Amino acid sequence: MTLRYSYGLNQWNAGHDRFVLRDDHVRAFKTLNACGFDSVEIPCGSGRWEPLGRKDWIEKFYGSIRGLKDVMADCGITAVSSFIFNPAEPIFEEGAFGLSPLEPAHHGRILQTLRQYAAILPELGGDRLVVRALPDWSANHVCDTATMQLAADCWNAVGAMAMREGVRLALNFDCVTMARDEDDMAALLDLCDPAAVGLSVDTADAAIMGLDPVALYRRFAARVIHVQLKNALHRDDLGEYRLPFPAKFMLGGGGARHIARWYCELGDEDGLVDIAEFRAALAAGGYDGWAVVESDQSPEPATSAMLNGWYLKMRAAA
Amino acid sequence: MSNIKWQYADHWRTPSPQGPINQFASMREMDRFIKQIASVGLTGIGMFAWNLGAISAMFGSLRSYREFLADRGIEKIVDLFWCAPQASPGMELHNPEHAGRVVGMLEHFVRLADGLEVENLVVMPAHCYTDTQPVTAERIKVLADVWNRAGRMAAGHGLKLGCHHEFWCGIRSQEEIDLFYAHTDSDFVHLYIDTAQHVIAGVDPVALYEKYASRVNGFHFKDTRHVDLVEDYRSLPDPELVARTTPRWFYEMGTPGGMVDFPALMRALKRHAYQGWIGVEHDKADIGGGSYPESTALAMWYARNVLSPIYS
Repeated sequence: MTLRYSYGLNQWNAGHDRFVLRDDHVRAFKTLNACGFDSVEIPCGSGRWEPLGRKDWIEKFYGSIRGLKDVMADCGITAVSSFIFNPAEPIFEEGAFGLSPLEPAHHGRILQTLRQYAAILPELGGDRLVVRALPDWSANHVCDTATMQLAADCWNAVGAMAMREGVRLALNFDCVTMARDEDDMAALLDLCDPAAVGLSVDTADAAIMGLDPVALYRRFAARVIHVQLKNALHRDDLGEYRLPFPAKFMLGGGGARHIARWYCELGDEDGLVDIAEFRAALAAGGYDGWAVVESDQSPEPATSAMLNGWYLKMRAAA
Repeated sequence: MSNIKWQYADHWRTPSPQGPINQFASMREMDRFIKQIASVGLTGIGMFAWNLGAISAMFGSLRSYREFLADRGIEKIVDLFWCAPQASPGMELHNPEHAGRVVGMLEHFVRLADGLEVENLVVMPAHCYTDTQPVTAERIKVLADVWNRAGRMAAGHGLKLGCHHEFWCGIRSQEEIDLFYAHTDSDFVHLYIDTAQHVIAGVDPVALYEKYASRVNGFHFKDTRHVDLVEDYRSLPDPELVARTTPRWFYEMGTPGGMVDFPALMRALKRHAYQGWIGVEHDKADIGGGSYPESTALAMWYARNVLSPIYS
């Protein structure tokens, strides 16, 4: 197994007007490097407050992709492992306010948007484009073959485009997506070209959904090409993924139980995920690729990075 | 083996649902604190002497704490720090009649740490400037006598006494520092250099180290963006907090606009073949939205990427 760690910048990018200044980026890069990380995952974004979120904004803010790469390198960050994209997020530059892989009319726009990320990833040292595979749960949609074929058509096209750039597409299923179990995920994966489209396993989101991330990995080991490694404190026992805007009302607002924080650091004593067991499963499955450490909703990003770095150095390596 | 080992000096405060808390709030918070500093390459810790009691209460004994540290990658407690910023009727550092009380109190802390291989007892050698006044040669001589006694006591327990000169301390200028070390015994009274504090006081820490290299028993490496030009050091009750010109005095190594020439200091350490610990300190790092964890990570990034290539 060759496991290469990266770190999600999303924990710093906690919404509008945050993580905009170049100095903010430099401090995050140096913090991560001090904690033992040399690669980052960047969330795609839109608007003037997302200077890392799109190719055009990177070029405006850093002069060029090379400019960003040089700044990262000065801080000890040698690669952007991956970009992660949610088609439902607004893309102001393109007049898009909620694209969906279930809408055939949106497929061309999604493909066009994602071209920029596939094009710049190799220059940045990365090779994974991670996408939110399906929309939020909705009473109007089920994961039947016809519906999954719509999504598969979209992702197969994106995957083929990305593959031509030397990038592979990984489908990510978070805890509020319409796919609720392994069979739902399989329904989509089975319709996607294995050469171009793989699976991104998110350990914490799987746990929040009530799934066993180890079992999830084992079932799909041959298709797993990206891992998001994080821990979770709570399961969605109330089925609050059905709430409107679940990313806000459930994950942000805490739902009916007013949960202050769903996610936690890898070695947290209250964490639901046995990270050591998951790593052992990756080793047994011969996983060869990125493991992107994340700390969504971190109240103190540096603390999360330091605790995660400590865990990987002092416990996971043992 | 490297000549330099990095340790972290106790100041810490992070957000919690209860508001800001420090590592003494619970075993869990101590666990998170130690893991965070170990994560970025620190292998020792400096402590306020008065926190030893809380540690004993939390862990049952200081030996248990040392095992807790070792399990998380921290070798040991390196320094114990003590100061008395304000003079009081029963405790005036510059009153010869109080010398026995001062030394006895410090010996209490030193005894608590017996067997832990603590290396340094670090003290602020005078009260704040305002409470030390008049700062005369005679008064500095009295203070030197106190610290000569305390230094012998500490040495008897295997510790070196180091004097740490805050910018608002009664012994702060180059002239006062020189007079103090002229009157103290070089075998028992050492200089513990805090880079930012000296810069704020208008003293060049590199030149200071060059002058007293053989007497230096440790460092606090932190930076500042300001020199005290208007006698902020006289502010009461705490010049580090209430100075009228400067809401935040201290920053991590590598901060933009930092006034400490750390590379020059590292080159000086190399010239003198310094071997030992360097402390990383972030006093009041969270003023104005800063963060102790981030400052610590950034400081250790700087230590590893800028300073260690000069001398490690």
